[in-house]
Amino acid sequence: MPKTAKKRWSLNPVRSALLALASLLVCVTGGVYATNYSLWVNGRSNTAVAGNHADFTYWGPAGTDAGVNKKSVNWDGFNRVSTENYRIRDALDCYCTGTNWCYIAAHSAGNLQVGYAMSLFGGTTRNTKNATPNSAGVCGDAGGTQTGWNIKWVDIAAGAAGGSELSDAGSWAVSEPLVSDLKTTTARAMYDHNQTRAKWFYMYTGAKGTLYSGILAGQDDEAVAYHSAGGVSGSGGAGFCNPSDWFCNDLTLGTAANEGGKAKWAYHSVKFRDDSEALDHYTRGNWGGVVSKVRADMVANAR
Amino acid sequence: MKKKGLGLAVVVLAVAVVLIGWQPWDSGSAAEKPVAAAGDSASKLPDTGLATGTGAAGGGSGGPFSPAGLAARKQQLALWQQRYDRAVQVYSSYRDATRYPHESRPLGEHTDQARPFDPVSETKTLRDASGKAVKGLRLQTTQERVFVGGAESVTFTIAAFDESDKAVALTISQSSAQSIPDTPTPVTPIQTQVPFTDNGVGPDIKASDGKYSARLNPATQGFANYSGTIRLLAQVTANGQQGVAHFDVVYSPAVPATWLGVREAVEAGSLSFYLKAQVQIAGRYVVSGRVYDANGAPFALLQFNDQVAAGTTEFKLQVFGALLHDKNPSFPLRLVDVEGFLLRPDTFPDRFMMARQTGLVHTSSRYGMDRFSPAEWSSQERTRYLDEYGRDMQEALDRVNVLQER
Repeated sequence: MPKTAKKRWSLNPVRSALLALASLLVCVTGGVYATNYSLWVNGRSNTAVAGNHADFTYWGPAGTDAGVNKKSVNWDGFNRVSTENYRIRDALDCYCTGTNWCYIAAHSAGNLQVGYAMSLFGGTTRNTKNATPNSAGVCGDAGGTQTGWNIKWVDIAAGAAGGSELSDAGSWAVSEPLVSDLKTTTARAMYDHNQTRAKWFYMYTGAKGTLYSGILAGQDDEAVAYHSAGGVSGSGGAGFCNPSDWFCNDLTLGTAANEGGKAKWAYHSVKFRDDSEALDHYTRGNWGGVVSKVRADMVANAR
Repeated sequence: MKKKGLGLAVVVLAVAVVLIGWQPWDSGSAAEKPVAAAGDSASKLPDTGLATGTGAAGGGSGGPFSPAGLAARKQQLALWQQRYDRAVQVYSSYRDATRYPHESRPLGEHTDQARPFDPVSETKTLRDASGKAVKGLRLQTTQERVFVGGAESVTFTIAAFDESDKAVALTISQSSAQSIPDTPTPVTPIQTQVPFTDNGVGPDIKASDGKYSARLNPATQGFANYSGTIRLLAQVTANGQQGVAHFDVVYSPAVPATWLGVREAVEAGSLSFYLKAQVQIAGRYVVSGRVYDANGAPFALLQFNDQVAAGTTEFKLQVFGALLHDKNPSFPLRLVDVEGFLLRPDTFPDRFMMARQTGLVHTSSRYGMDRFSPAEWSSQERTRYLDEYGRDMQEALDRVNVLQER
């Protein structure tokens, strides 16, 4: 457990320099450069260059603060989760192995990608990497292996790991491979969503949806309903809402079971529920919608 | 960092630290400024670098003891308190959760994995062919499985209800299953009729109960050489309104391995079930089984995920000793509902299914608890995480303490 510290905030300049030199020498002799990274995993329909970790086209201006050492884990947002998941695993290998650690933020179908990687590959042997990717988003080996990745926690905006009713015929292009994966039955059967290896998924939900309110169950952000964005376990299709809606079970904050008794997936906690129905699904190229809430959390806590 | 540049870097760093030595350290990039966002507390912080934890406390106009400086410090304290609270939560929950390995968990932690072979049941709004909702009508659907392998079949059901949950008479004029290629290249789809009936015959359990049933057997209905999504669309009419019911399954004809039997062993303070199998295709296998105690109480979810060679092999499902001590289940334990598949990374379909082992698979012997170790799980992975989470917690606490002192 942590000890109560009595550190002074202001440091003597000479002492500071000596401390810095000592730290640097430790790094040089030990070859250890521990760095934290913030990985952003996009959802459906991404025009950024896949594998280019500096391209934030999906999210918004690249100069915007979005957590320490932010990287954009660009996958194409079009093909199957299984065929594109290597891009997520490559990025996790790059920045989240050895002495480096990651915070992860994901949007929409990016939730499915991160959950799939962590559940099915989170306990596999990984080569530690040097955090220097090539143009395909693959980093060089740094020597050594480890079990799984170094992930501190995961923020999810408008998560689609539970699928979306819009993937049924009529709303989205059914010829798009990802849309088939986003069918509620398929998304929920794809992997054990509870298997995060005890890493927390903090869920942020939006409720500004109106266009598809007859199709999406309960409250929605115009692309995913609360049953998915809130990490509700079990079959899809159940409606969950804000407490102001008396005719629909509440999506509870935190980890507690929802009104009506349905549990959330293990290690999933609803951090933000859009009680004022102000946020929709879309980033609008400016870190907008529910992503704005996740970005704020990454700015504050991913350091 | 290249080593030949280190000498210069040392000098530059030393000078830089002398110049900024009074500032608190943070790895955040000061060049990145937050955009304004409603309700975004971090981005509302004064321009002192506090939003990212960088910059001088009490910066901006007026100095550290000005009203602005005091307010900024108060906000920074709140921020570090928030970071500390999260760090404590993350550390504590990880420490407690990892008393057992990730592959040997309480079944209550995986609620939707407890009955993996129950049909997937959904209630959804009836939609017309263009995808628009048909007001006042809902469909209750089930499908026996999503991932289908080899000679397995899938049963589907459809029933209709109005807004007050009253059953509505249903007719299904046409229903067919079709392959859904992932490629934009035009290919001739495989298509077959899959009739829904409510006559108590075949897949339909009870005649005239309003629940229509159909069964798809891909291997015998034209899909024997196909791998991918098969979509079943049923044209439905209820209360004079027409709509479509829509089911997807993911099919692969290959069966990668077959089950042979189970043995058990008490070893290293835990109980292991070894599921024997004849593996035809080598690769990464993902296997899971549920354990109930002698009284039928749900106890554990056991998982296996590892590379396996072709040939006769055993998948090890471990009931961890500390889990046995903590939950104290009544022996004999019953291993039930085992499923497994060959995971095929970077391909679609991403798995070849093994046959389901439904119901009781194995009953353990009776053991005294003294046969098992109460020791918590120990591994490099766990130590790595507890060390890092512990450092985060300590750092946040140190910052809180310093800010509270000032």
